[in-house]
Amino acid sequence: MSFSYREKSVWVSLLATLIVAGYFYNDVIRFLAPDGQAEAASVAMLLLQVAGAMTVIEIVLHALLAMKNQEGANDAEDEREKQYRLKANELGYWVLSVGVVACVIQQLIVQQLIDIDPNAYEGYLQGPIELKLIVIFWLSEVVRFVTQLYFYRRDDEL
Amino acid sequence: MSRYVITNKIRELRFFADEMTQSTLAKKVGVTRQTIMAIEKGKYSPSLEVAFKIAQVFDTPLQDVFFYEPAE
Repeated sequence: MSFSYREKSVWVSLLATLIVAGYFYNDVIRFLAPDGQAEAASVAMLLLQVAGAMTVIEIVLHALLAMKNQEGANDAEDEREKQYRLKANELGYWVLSVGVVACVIQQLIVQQLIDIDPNAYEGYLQGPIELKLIVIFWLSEVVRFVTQLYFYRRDDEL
Repeated sequence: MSRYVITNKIRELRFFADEMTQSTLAKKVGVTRQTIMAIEKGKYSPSLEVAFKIAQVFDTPLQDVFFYEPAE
């Protein structure tokens, strides 16, 4: 198996995304849960923590990657890499668009249905919208990275 | 309608070019070694520009490097 520097970089980004998701999973679920009492300030704090952790982990992992493997680190993206990045961005953008529209529509519907039992399963629907948007963004990022890696790995097959 | 595929004989041309490595060819063309590998295997079809550059490295006409033929 042969990995270019850019492919390794995508693996690192996927790993960072999954690490952050794994670390903050419980906090996000707690706020989205039926009995979760989400205050705007604590949701904002959680979002800041997620963004901060994501930035730090990405920088550390990419620095380690650059120290270990410098071949191709300074090379410009070639046409194949660019094509795969654009295809992956397209798919990720589609997930993001559909997710955001679905989230906004769902929020509008929930606002009309004031008699939803907060302890019922539907209580998940009442979670803070900013948190749902972050989950959708995270999902679109994962789709983006996985799509790129799929194309890279497909080329490496015999 | 039969399906067509793009094939190439880059591997053969590298062999006759004093066993040129994929890395050397990649540097001369300005792409990564993995891209040359993908082109050689027929997994990725290069742009016209990259195809011409590859042909130029081997000092060969484009039609002697890449072929558009029916899939077997």
